[in-house]
Amino acid sequence: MWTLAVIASIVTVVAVLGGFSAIPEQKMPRISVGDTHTGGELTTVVERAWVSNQQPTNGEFAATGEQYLIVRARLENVTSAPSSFGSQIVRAEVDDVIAATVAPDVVLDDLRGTRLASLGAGVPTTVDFIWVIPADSVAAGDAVYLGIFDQFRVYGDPIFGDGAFTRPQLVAIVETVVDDVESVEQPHEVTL
Amino acid sequence: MSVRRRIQAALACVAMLAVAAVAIGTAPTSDDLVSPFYVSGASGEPVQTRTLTAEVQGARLAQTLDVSANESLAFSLDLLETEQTWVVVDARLEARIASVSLSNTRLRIAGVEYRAIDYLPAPTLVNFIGDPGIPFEGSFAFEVPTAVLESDGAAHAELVLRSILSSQLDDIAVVDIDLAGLEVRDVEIMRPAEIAESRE
Repeated sequence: MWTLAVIASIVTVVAVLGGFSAIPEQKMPRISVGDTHTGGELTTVVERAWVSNQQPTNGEFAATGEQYLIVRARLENVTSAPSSFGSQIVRAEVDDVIAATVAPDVVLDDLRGTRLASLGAGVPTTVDFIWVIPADSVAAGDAVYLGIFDQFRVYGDPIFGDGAFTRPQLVAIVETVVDDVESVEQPHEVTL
Repeated sequence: MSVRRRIQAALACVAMLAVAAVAIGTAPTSDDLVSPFYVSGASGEPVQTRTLTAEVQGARLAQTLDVSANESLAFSLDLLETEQTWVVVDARLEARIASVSLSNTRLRIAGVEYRAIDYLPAPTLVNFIGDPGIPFEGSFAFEVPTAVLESDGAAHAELVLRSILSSQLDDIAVVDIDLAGLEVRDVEIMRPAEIAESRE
């Protein structure tokens, strides 16, 4: 009898304190093109997304029947050591064309047209994330969802000590539309 | 047990807890236990570690890197630009035990580390240093914020010659470099790694 009374009391207290209330749904933060997102290693400013049959800077053309979805972002490493996370920080999702889990086919350092290497501390870098997609699958005005990811340090890992990181996790969403390819600056000439 | 004995026992427990707290607080971390041994030296002098002999020959600053000497079908650029400043460090390196890859080499300024660019085609000092007894000369290049090179820390920069492999409990050569007051040229040539003439 006493046991039932104690259990009932505990349940009552939990209920009064809100223990049985519905867990509020946590919405993923949404930011706009041009906004700065500050993560653990990098700041990210998504500048725009567009489709083209030519990669920026290096001018490489898409194969017949294909085109590129290009997302340009400005990244800056805010730590005191080189970061190799830059190529993983942005992902795109376009209905029936690109799944959110698909990595870009190429990630370019826009200034030099080379594949993105590590990002130096305090060196802002314009980066182009490029997916190869079927021609005519995406057009100007189509919606594109861009995910910004972050990774978090793991302390006391049995193998890597304090140098390990979690898998990249989605921390913000940028919802925008694909720019008209005609509005994009043409690639500048590269010395060969 | 008398009151006095109880007080003595309590004090002994407190004392042991205090000693344990000090021991835990001052004990090295697991990273400290396997940290590398840094072997420091000055620019212009040979610095010898277990696996490497290194001598920094000089440093240059530039807005653009001429990398045309590194020929490769897979890398078509001749000039590498930056919105910041390139730091080019010329060095002579010689493996002592086996060939060495220094692809994790860093330039450290005021506690901040900048990684040597590693995407140029071989041969570069970053990619490979040949067999023991065969000295190589060439350049490392680092992209560093211009403001950092204009700060007081530039006078006390350090080249940290790190392998991509774990350096736990191994030597790492650290060479002091004075970058203060160097002229920033428009273009500097990136030297590919080449076998150096042996010294008598």
